[in-house]
Amino acid sequence: MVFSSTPFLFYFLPLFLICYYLTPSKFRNYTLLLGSIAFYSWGGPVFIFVILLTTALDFILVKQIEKSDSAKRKKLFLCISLFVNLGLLFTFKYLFFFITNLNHLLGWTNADPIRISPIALPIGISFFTFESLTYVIDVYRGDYKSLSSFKNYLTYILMFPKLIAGPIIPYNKMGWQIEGERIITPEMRLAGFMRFIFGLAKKILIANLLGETVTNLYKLAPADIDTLTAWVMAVGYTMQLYFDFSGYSDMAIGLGEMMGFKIPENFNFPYISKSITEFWRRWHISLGNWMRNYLYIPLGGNKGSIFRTYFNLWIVFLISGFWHGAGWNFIFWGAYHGFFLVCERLFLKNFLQKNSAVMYTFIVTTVGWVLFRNTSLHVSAMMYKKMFSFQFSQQHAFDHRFIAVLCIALFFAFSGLIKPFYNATQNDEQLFIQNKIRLYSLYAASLILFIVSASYLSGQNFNPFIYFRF
Amino acid sequence: MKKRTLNILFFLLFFICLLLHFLFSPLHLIKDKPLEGYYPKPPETTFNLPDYFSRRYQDTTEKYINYQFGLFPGFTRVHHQLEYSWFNKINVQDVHIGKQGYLFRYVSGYFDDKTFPEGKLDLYIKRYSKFSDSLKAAGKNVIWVIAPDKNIVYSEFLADSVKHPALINGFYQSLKNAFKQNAITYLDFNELGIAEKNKYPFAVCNKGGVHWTQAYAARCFDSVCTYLSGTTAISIKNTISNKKNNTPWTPDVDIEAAANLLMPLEKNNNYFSTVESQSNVKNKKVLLIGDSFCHVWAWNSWMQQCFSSESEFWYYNREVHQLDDEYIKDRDHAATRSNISKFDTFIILFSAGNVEQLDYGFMEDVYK
Repeated sequence: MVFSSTPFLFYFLPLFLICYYLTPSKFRNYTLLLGSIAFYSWGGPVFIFVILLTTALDFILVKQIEKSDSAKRKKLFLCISLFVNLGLLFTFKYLFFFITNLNHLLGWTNADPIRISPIALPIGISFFTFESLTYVIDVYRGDYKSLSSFKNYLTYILMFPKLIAGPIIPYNKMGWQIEGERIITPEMRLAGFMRFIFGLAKKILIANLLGETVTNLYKLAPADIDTLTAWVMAVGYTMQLYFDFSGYSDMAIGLGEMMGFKIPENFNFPYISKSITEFWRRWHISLGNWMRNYLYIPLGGNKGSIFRTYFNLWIVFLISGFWHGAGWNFIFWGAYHGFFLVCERLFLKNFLQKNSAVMYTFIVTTVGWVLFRNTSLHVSAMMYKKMFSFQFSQQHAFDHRFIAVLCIALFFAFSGLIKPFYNATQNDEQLFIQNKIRLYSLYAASLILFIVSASYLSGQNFNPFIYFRF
Repeated sequence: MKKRTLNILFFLLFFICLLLHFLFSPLHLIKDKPLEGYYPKPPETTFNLPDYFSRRYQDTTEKYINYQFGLFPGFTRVHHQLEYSWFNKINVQDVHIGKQGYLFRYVSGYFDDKTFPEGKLDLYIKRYSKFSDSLKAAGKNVIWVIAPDKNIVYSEFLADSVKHPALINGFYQSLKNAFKQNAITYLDFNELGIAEKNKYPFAVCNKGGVHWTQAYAARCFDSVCTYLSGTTAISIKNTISNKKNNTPWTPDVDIEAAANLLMPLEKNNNYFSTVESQSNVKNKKVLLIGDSFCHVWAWNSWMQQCFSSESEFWYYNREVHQLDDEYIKDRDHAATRSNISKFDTFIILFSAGNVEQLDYGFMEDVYK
C-alpha cells in the first residue's frame, strides 16, 4: 500500500486518523504503532516478523550498551548490532547481486556456479536499517539516552509515514518526540493535510504522468530515438524522479504533522544548486546527513590529508550509490557524483560562481540519472550515444500533454515559486497569521489539487471498451 | 469567522472528502451514475491466511477497492473530462479523436496491412453462391448487407495521423471486389452513406457514436425492404416519419457514453424515426445475422411489423435472440441446417469493421 493509492487515501488514512485523534494523547503511540504494524504487514506480511525480531534485538543490545561500564563490552554489543543490521541488509538486498557477479567470475575459471534465486526485499529495509543504526550509534557514542520502552522504539522504527521511502530520521530528531507528549493544534492538522496534498499532487499529477511517457519512450527502438528525444527522456526522468521522491517526502512530512510530529525536510529545490556539492545538500537531505554523520566523519572526514579527504568523499558517494540499489549502474552513478564532487574541490568550484553553474549542475545530474534509470549499462551507453550524437529527426513520440507537464515540472523545480507554499505549510504559525487572501488561496489550491489528484488516481487506468467484445 | 474556526472547518471539509465515498458505497445513501463501457470488474476476495502471506489477498483486494469505492465513477469522470478538455485525450479503448469533434473507433480492417488469408475468401464466395442458389431454388431469399461505417463515410474527419492506405486494400475492399467478380448481390450502405450524408437533416453516424444513427438505420431498412420488394415476391411498403429530438437514442452516442465525460459533447442534428409498414410476408420468418448494428432494426420493432414474430436475430452467430432482442439461447452450431430450414429470408448484416470475420462462421456451420 503506497500513499498515492485509493486504499490508503480513502480507507486507511481516514480510519487511522479517526482512531488516532480519538485516542487520549498519552496512548497515541499505541495507536500509531498498531496502525504502522497494520500498514507494514499489509505490504509485507512475512517481513513484519523480520523487523519485529531485529528491532527487539537492537533494543536489547542498546540497553546492554547503555548499562555496560566496560568500553569493550559496549563495542561488542555495537558490533553485534551492526553485524545483524548490515548483515540483514546485505542478505536481502545485495547477496543475489554479489553471487551473480561471483558466478560471472567463476564462469571464467570453468568452476560450477553458486545456485541462488532472487531474494524478495523487505519494504523499506534500506531506510529502517539506517534508522536503527542511528539509534545504536547515538546511544553508543553517549550522545543520547535510549528509549524507555520497547513500544516507543518500535514506534520510532515502524512509524508508517516514513517507513517505506523516508526521510531517514535519525534517532536524535525523533526519540524525544515519541517519548514526549505531542500537542496537535488545528493549524498543524490542516497544514499537515495540505502538505500531504501537495505531495500527492506532485506524485500523481507530475511524476506519474511523466513516468508513463518516459517508460513508453524507453520502449522505442534505438533507431527511433534522436538527440532531442534522448534529452527529453533524460530530463523527463530527472523531473519524474524529483517529483516522485520529493512528493513522497512531502506526504510523509504532512502525515507526521497531522500526528504532531516534526519530520525533517528531505528536499530543498535541488535543481537550483550551483554545484554538485550544493545539490547533495538539497537532494535527499536525510541521506546526505546520515552519510556525513555516520560514515564520512567516522572515516576521518576532511581531517586527514587532501588525498584522504577526496578518497573519503568518493567512498561515501560510491556507498551512497550502492545504497540506492544492488546494481552496477548505481555503483557507477555514485562514483560519477563522487568524481564531480572531487573535481569541484580540486578546481571546478572556481568556475562555478556564475548563473551558468545552475545549468552545469542540472546537466551533470540529468546525465547521471540516465545511469540511475537503467539497470542495463548497455541501455545507458545507447542513451549517451543518442544524447551526444546531435542527430535530429522530424517526428517525435511524445505528446503535448507530456510537454505541458514537463514544462510545469521544470517551472516548479527551477523557479522556487512554490517555496512560499512550502514555507507556509511547513510553519503553521506563520501560515495562519498571514493575510486572509493568501490563506484562502491555499485552501482553494489544496482542495482543487486534492480533487484533481484523486481523479487522476481513480481514472488514470480506466479505459473501458465501448462494448463487451465476443 | 475566526481563523481558528475556519481552519477547523477546512480540516473537517478535507476529512469529509476522505470519508464521503462511504455514503455512495457501501452505504448507498447517495446514488451515482455508474460508469459506462465494458471493463472487467475485479472479483471480490475472501480472506484466508495463505493468500494473505503470499500477498495475493492484498493485491486482489486493492484492485477490487480501486473499482468499487464510492467516488470512483465521479472521480473518473472528472479525470476523463480534464484529459479531454486539456489534452484532447479520450479514455476509451481503440477510440481516437478526429477532426471537428468526431470520435472514431479504430478498426484493424482499415488501418492495418492485413487482408484475408489465402483461399479463405474464395471458399467463402463458393459456399455462399451455392447456399444462395439453393435458397432461391426453394423460393427463399438471402441478402448480404454492409452497414455504413463511420471510418468510411466520414473519412474526411479522420485525424491525419491515422489515415492509412490499407483503407483501399483492406478486408472491406477485398470482399466487395470478390462480390463484384462473382456477381453476388449485396447492399453497401457505405456507398449510399457517402452519397447521401448531406442529403438528410440527420447524420449517417453521430459524432460520438460507432453505429449508424437510428434515423439513418430506418432509411437503410427501407432500402432493404425496397430491394426485396423489387427482386422477390415480397411486398413491403414503409412510411417513415422523422422527428427532431434533442436527446439522442442511446446507441447513437455509444463512444461518448463510454468516454464517461462530465460535459456532453457536441452532437449532430438528432432525429428519431418511426416506421409504419404494410407487408405481405407477416407470416414469413426472417433470420437476421450480424453484429450490434442489427440492434437498431431489431429493437425498434420495424422488422416485427414486416415479418413473423418468430423471426430471429443471431447475434454474432453465437446467441439466438428474438427480434425484440430477448435472449433465447446460445447457438447450437451443430444443428444449423435444421435450425435454418424454418426461415424464408436471410439477411446477413455486417459492419465493415467486422468484415474480416465474414459472417462469424455461419456459412461454415451450414456446410458442416
